[in-house]
Amino acid sequence: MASGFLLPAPAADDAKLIAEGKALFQTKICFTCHQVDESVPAPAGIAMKAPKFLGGFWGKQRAVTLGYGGKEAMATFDEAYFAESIRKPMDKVAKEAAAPMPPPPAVSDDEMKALIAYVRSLSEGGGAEDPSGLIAKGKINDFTFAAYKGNWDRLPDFSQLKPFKTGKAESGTADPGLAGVSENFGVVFEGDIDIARKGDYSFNLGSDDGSRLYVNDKLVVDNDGVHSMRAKKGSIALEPGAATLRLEYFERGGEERLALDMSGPGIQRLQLAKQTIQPPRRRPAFPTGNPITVTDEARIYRNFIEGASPRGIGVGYPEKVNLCFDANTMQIAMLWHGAFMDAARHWNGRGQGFQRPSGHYLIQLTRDQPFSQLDSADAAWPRAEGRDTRAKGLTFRGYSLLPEHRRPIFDYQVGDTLRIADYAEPVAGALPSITRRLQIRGNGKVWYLAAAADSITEEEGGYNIDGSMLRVSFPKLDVKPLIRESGSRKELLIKLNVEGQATLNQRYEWNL
Amino acid sequence: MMNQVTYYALLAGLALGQAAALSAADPAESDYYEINAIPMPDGVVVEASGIEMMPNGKLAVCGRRGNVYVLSDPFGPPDSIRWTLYAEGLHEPLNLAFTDGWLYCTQRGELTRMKDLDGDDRADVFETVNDGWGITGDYHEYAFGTRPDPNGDMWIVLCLTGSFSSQIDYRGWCVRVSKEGELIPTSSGIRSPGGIGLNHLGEAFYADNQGPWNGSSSLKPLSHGSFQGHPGGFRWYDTVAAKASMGKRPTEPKTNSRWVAERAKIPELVPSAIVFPHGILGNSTSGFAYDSNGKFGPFKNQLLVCDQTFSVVNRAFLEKVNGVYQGAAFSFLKGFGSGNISAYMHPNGTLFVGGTDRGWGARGGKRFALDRVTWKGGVPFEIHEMRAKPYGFELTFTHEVDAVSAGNMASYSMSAYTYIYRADYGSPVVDKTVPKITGVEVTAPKTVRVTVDGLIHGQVHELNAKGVRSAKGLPILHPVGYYTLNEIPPGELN
Repeated sequence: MASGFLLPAPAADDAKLIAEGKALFQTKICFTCHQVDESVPAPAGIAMKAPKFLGGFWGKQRAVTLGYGGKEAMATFDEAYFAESIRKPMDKVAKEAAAPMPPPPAVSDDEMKALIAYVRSLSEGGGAEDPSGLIAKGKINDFTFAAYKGNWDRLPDFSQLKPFKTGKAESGTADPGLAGVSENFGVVFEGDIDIARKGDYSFNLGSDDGSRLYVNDKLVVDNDGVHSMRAKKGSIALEPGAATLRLEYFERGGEERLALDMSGPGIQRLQLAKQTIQPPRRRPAFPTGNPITVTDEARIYRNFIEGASPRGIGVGYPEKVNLCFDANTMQIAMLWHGAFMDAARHWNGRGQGFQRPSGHYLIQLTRDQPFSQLDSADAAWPRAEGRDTRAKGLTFRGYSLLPEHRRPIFDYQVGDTLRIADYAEPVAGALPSITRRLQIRGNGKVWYLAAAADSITEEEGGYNIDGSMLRVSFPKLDVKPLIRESGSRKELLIKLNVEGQATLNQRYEWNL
Repeated sequence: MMNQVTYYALLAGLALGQAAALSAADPAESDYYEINAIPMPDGVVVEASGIEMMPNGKLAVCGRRGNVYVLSDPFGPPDSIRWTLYAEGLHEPLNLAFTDGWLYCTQRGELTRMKDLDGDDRADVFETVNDGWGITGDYHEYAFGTRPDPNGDMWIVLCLTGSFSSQIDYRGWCVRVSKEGELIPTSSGIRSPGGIGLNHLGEAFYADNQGPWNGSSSLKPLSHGSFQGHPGGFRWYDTVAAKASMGKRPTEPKTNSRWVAERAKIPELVPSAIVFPHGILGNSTSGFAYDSNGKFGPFKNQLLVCDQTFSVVNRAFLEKVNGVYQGAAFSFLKGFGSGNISAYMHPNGTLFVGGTDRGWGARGGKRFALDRVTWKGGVPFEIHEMRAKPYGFELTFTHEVDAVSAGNMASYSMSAYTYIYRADYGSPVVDKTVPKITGVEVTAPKTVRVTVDGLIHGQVHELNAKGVRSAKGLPILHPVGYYTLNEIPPGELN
């Protein structure tokens, strides 16, 4: 029996691990910031200057700071560093990064192994050339070829023909170039492949012009005829041991191409021929290409913003903090750091759909309206149940821009008696924050909903919104906010009795 | 061997060939109107959707990307016009209107007015005048608005959700917003508007695009209480505001019918004043403007109506017969840069046309454009007016006609057709006939009476007058008129 076939079993397991890691790279939202493909930017990572996993990076030294903004040091990009970066992102922060990495969703030890295998494979010399497609190069054993001359429309019966060239190929790779001619020729490749596990194996055969694949003398893929590069699939059940492989190919004129890969238990798209079948080009997770860049003034983007109602008003501040004010409910629906918005979805084609904020550290707040004239302290808060729900008793009046930095002050009415100036003031810093300054004019009692969540914990003069990065506090407030149970959630409420004018300041900080 | 007849036929052919060769020198649109592209600075993208003059002499232009620019010296050399960003971040605004010291604009979700408080050409305050209609996040939920009408109201047409149904308040309706900011439900039955505006009398018209319940793109008059044809938004008759302003909901139209038949049953149903035959005059009727003082040529008060797909401006002559608006459409100008959707006529006779081909495509070729049209001073030989008469049509030309060709029946031909009024998308041309021209008479130096046997109530009557020459021998620049005959004028007593 032929030994040493294409890939040792552990390597095949690697391939499986890499595939798992690749999937985890999506589900653990790594992809939003870390670019892995030259042609597909990771928009959230652009302003944040998140490290890209491109070129040769694995095993290389990189400059870091010990703690965000801390002492500079060097670290080797290896398994330990990678795992530490995920588990303790603030410990060693890539020096070029504009902000530390937010903690991703929890990663188990098994998941960590898969992520490491995948990211490592992205590094030049660390793994496959094309992470989306072929992930390992295989080899056909006892590999021989026989080349024939002829002008055919379909594969001939090669057994009736005399080859003009025969030989062995140490490469183990089916390559039409072995014939040494470019037109009017055919090649038959023969050899065998070791099968480690019993199971169904699929073969993906692409050629220009025709080709046919036999495994254990059975026709598995028929891709015959004159055509441009075209792939066809077939499969066969195989037992452990050697399987014979016979690949017939012909080329009449024009380009000559031959691609073959196999998949099966423990093997994913193992490449057996010279060329590769290009996988369909991946589309980015969301459209990019029209970033609204914020430099020295606040910028506004009114459009369909994911996480808000159709009346979302995005505001990007030079302090690298952003918010989305929802003019259906008058609430700040979202806060995030870094890059502001990308208008590509709305500025291309018909502009269909909701676009997600670009940056990082996104906090989704309650969209329920901020003010309500509750009948009693235990009356239910009016909820923004659907995306299109509009605030009850509140009327949007627009916004004005402050001369300096052109920050907006939102203007709305509560009933007929109260008028609100709602001004978010960014606070610069390593982790910028927002102070929402509410100025209320008029007369009357009104309740303010500062936060709503499954759990809210009072701590050191502020309130942690459990399960999120958010911490809120109320500078210079002389009444005590109330945490009340309402159904399955907690509501942080402040009751105001406005006589002429009142102010209320709410601080929104990231609690990382 | 050649016989006599063939010989003369060949001679005639030679003569015709000569005439054809001469026709290269026939007048062209560009002999009368000049179209200049106004270049945008590098990096500036304005998918020009609304155009308005500011009191400081600058021209405001808004675009689908939510930006508003003001252009200094908008009548100067196009290359020297300076663009200043006045506002940004608006939600796909589709019109601009300056009044009472504010620049108004209709965004998707609201009517907004803005103002530059400190004179730096940048708006500082954005007031929400009214946001009483709904949006769901569907890209088709566009909103187009007018300048204030003589009453101070702005008319706003709201596209259906997905251009098919009405998923949220007043989609598929026209609403007015009063000076006080109150929303008044005004008309139902709108499908997919491409533009809206007022005529010289301050009456609102809007363009509705081919689709369900609208066989071909058309220009429709709006009036309080009217039903424009698409029943998809009838549920909003049940709102308090609509009950107060509109009364009961109309009878639902029957599908696979004709407008004439349904109008007989549904008094609120208003027919298109002008049908722009699909694929002939355009595919997507949009914004319009008109010349109020004759500084743009001989077509005072006629509507100059954009088509996005064809990148053209058509011309519409309107009249009222039996109290119903109708009239004729003619080709007018081609050669615009992108898909025309907005038009603004300055009182000095300069027409600005804005375009975008995004999402739907246009023949112009540019992704977005702002063009400026000026009249060169010469009067093209055109059918100035085409009026319905009990006997047929009366044509008035822009020049005195050549009595021989204009009085010759062979100079004219006519066909008539219509479109199915139905719930399905668009319609083929149906019920096509050839009404018989039984007489033509030059009744005044510029006027021809065309007597027609077989006028058909409700149909588009396509009249081709290509044989007519002006007294000076000019052919008609655009010899075909498309008259939407909603009403046949009552006959004179014998």
